[in-house]
Amino acid sequence: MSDHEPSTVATTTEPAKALAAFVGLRVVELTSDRSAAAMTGRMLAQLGAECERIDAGSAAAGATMDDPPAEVASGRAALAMMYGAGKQQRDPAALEDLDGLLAGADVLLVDDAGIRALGGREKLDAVLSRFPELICCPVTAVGGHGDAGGSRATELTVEAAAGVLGTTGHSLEETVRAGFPVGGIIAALNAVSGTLAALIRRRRTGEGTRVDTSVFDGLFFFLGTFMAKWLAAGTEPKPVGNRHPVIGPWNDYPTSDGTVVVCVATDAAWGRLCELVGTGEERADWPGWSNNERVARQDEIDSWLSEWTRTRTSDDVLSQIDHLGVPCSRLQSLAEVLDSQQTRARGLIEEASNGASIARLPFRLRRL
Amino acid sequence: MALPLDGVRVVEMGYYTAGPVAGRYLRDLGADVVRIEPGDGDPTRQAGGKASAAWSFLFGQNNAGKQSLSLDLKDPEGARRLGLLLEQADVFLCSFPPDVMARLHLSPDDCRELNEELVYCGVSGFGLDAPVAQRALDVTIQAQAGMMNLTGHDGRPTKIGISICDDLAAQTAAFGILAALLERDATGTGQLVDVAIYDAAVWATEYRWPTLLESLPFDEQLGNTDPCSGVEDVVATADGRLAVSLPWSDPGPELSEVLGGVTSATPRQGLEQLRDWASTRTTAESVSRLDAVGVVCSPVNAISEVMATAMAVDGELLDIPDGGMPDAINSPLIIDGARLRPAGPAPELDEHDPDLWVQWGAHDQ
Repeated sequence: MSDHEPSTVATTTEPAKALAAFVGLRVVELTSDRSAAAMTGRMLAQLGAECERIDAGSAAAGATMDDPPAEVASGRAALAMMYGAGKQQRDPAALEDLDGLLAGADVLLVDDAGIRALGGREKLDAVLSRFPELICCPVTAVGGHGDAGGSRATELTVEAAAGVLGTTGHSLEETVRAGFPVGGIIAALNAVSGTLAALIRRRRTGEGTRVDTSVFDGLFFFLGTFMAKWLAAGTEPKPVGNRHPVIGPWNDYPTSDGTVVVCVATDAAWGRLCELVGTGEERADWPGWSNNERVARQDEIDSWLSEWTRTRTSDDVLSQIDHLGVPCSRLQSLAEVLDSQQTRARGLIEEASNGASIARLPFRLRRL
Repeated sequence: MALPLDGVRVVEMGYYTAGPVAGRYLRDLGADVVRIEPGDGDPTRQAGGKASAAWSFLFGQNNAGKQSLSLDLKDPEGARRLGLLLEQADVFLCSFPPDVMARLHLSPDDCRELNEELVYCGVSGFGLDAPVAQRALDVTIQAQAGMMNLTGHDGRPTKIGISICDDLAAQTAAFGILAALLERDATGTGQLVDVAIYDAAVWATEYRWPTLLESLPFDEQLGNTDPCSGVEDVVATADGRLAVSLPWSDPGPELSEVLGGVTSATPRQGLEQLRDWASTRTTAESVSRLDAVGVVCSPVNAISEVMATAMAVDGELLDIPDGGMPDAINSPLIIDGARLRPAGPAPELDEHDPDLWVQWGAHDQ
């Protein structure tokens, strides 16, 4: 269990006002409680849409019922409050009159569990044919890829399949998933953008749109930097921990009271760093090293730089290195982040009407 | 096929990932996107592995289907010509720091003077009103926003391999611009979208906030487990690694049968027995046998394996020409059953001068 001190984080801002464009927009959501589609619905609710949610987990016939330990159940309950913020929860019995439920709806959001609750993809297609103005957005785990049809995948297994897990970590034997459901939130952002684009088209044409996306597709789209190396040189990209594969020095370094990240991207910045830290006679040639030499000898450089950072506070190190024009930052815990001046100044936490502390939409919007 | 953003005009200024990828999303959805580049071009053209003689795969990926104009914005004539485009634009997407935009007389206030109905989207490290122009890179934001401390094995904070902060900022910018276009149409007024990479990164960690960190190990590295999911981990096989997710329910007789008749009292015991079992089998055999009894699992794929998998290639995510290399990865969106694909490759520098001026009705050549 965690040994962190309980946080005092409590600074929340008022929810942003509904945007005029979303007042009266009706979203029907048939989702499990922590899926990408559920996050899509919450973002639409935060914009001002009226979102009605049916829990697809309990609505689907033959759903596997988990029986997790109390602490896991408690975490899930907290997340269900967060993902459900701003939504009206509907009784699954409403599915018995599906056409009645969808009458007057603008958007239908479903995930894999939602598709199962409807009776499968063919049933979903049949529903849509009766509502030509509806925007329907299925957000699934792996879309149409593979024979599992998305019914048997989790965030962990999709990160593994899509190469994100295999490219994160300090060695091939110890690669690791992202510390939060990165695939789910990428898919949710894709889904909400696709839905808004479909709303823009409907204003012009009056027609509904089907917008499909998946967690796998969203992750795959962001493999470009790794794929470039593989395509160009045919070499398998390997995880490089907190280093950069071709630029250096670039890593995390211990200080007397924490950890900082320092990224030296140019010869000039390297020269200034050498002058600040001091290379002495035994390292007289170091300031002239090219980037390729620095990358090849990063172990030596890391030892030298760590020796200097370890005897100073993070504030001291950051102040001196930032002064050189070298990108650097403190490695912060989440408690520190949520309690930080920057997070407060930007108003990134809001208190939802159901009492949950949730993340405000990730952009600010105001009149130009 | 008519695309959702047909007729929407976007002017884009920015290098590398966050801004240009937002423009790529809008372009794939049908918008006309023209990127403004200096005389010597966007440095991203040469960044990373080459896709063609002309530019890198990164540039091709981030800018597929767009148009290019070269303008010297420090020259009054170049600035004037950009103004002509902004008068005709729906969206101005810029990812240079706010102080740079102000020096170029391209702040939100400057642009409102040109076009009162413009959607102005500024992508920056810490927001358009940040007091200090702090330098930020994807990895420094991963550290500062708490992502790195949440990722990794015990005691070893780890950067996520993909450029997740830049990617999330790009998605956030596209999302914000689309919301702003709808709001502009509803209100008749221009909109300002302020995207901070830091904000997008903090937003993404919300899953680990429950009760704002007062229970469960929400604020530390948990390896390949998840505090709110099933019983999960990565296990070693005889020739690789396998990600496995078991539910918090009785492991069941089917799994016991696969494991050789061993009965697991709890899911956690089931996972440990599965770890022993998989260590003497290949990944392929393990996946096949576990999948057959309904255990959710996947190989931990390297990039070449992801590329090779039928999911990637047959799923239309990449179009690989005969004997060549793909220009870009296709969109993660499917509209009315058709995968969105870039309208073409990335543009040559200044490729669309002078045609674009006529196309946009900005006749001033």
